[in-house]
Amino acid sequence: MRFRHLTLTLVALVFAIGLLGANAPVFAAPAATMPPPPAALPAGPKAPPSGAAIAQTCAGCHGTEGRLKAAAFMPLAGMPKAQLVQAMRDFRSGKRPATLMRHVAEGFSDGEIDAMAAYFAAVKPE
Amino acid sequence: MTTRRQFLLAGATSLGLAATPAIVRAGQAPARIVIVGGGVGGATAAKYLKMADPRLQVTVIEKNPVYIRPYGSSEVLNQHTTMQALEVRYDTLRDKYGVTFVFDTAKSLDPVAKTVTTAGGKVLGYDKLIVAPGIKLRYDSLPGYSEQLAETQVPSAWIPGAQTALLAKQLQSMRDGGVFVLAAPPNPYRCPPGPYERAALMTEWFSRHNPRAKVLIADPKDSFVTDETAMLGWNRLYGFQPPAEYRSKIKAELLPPGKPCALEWLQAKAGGTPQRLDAKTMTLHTAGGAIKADVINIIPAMAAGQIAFDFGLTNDSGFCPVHRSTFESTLHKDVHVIGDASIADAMPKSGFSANTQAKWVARVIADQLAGRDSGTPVWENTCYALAGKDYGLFVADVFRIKDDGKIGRVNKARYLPFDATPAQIRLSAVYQQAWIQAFTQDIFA
Repeated sequence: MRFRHLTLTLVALVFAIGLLGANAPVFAAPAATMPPPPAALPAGPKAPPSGAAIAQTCAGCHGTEGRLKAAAFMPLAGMPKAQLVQAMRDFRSGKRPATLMRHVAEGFSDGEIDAMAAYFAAVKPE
Repeated sequence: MTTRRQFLLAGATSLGLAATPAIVRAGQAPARIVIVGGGVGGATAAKYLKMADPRLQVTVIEKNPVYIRPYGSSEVLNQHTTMQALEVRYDTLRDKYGVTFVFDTAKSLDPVAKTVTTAGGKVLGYDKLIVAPGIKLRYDSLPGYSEQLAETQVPSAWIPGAQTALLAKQLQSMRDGGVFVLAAPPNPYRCPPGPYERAALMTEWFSRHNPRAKVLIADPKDSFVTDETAMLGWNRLYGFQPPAEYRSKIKAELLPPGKPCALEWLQAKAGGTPQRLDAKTMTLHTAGGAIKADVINIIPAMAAGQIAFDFGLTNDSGFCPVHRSTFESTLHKDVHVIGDASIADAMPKSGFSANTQAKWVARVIADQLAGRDSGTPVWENTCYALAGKDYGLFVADVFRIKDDGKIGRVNKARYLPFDATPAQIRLSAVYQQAWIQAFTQDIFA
């Protein structure tokens, strides 16, 4: 209902700023002014969260197991691993503009992003 | 002839034991998981348990056969959505995932016999119990206020339902130039940005439909979660002037005072603390004086849902202490408490918190039953909120157990940046609506 009120420009922005597309235009501040990504998280006595466990925290917006119907967010099921890893790293560094994805990506280490991306890559999109 | 049975047995052997749940290996009946409460936490847990192992017997005890979602429910007040649009059905959880529903009120817990008894006299045995009762509104926390007044004259509308419809009607038919007072709650409470979003949305609605109306927030606090970014939005949209101490915190240019702003935030230090309601004269007495109003919305203090008290799961705080790594109650074994009722340190009492807690607990339970290690937990909270219908804000958090054993935030930035572009701001409002849609799917579909 709400989308009827949106201009084409805005629809275009959804795609430009949304998760999809390694070629999304960059119009945030240049990467040089961004702080470096956080150091790797210290190893604890227990195993780090599994890719599946991390992926579950994404599902509230990106769909159960990354499968999502008719919402503005990017479904992650079946996304090639390298594409998702790059997207998360670019969100984290600020290279890629976002609303809150930079904030979320800051909470995860490289290894965790790899594990999560491997999980989603293995899920069959619907 | 090689029978199908032999083939399956051979297959099971070659796959190894890890692929076969412990409950089947041991030759026992499938584990019984009872979930009390079919809100965000309970419904998410039910779905993700059945996804983890479809053989688990998952039963949800819930009072209402149709769920009314609280997230986004303030948008009924500004006619952005309808009461009907808040309704969510349990059909998919029942039919697609095989969750059993008992529509009844849970009354008591026997943690030794491991049974839950309902008001209707049903006794349900469990191997693991998840309690997700949400919040209870402490109507008696404000002298002069009561549940009866909330249902008839001064709604709280913080648990959506008839009070939401009543408040919508009052606000939309308020006299020309009338005064709407929203009494904000003390911490901790459900949906930290919610009261402020509600006040802002009504300020925007009144600007079109009742331009001389006033909106006052009477607050027992001096700050709130999205305060800086929300007040910047209010400044841009309504000419709101933040209190002096915020002027240096808000790292963006503020519009100068113009005509009097329709929205006023009376923080505690400005005398905003609600002290007493006089419903007869529609007056809210605050520390700073009496406010006569046309519509009063009281969002009272909160505690864990009544079931948590009835089950003996609360401590003196009125909420439920849990072991952080499992959300198992520190008071009763094999009973996990999730969502608003639990004490989860830095995690806000939000739907998204409840959703990621529920998934984690579903994983922990399935792993425990199968003899697997769940690894270390990670949770998230993302909430989009509105300063106006096209002006989005957000809170975004990633949580882990920190060195002090408590749950803490691990990401740096938390809010909409002060230098967010108009496109990012508007997109946040688009995403606020998308969030409601996607989030509902993840829980109920």
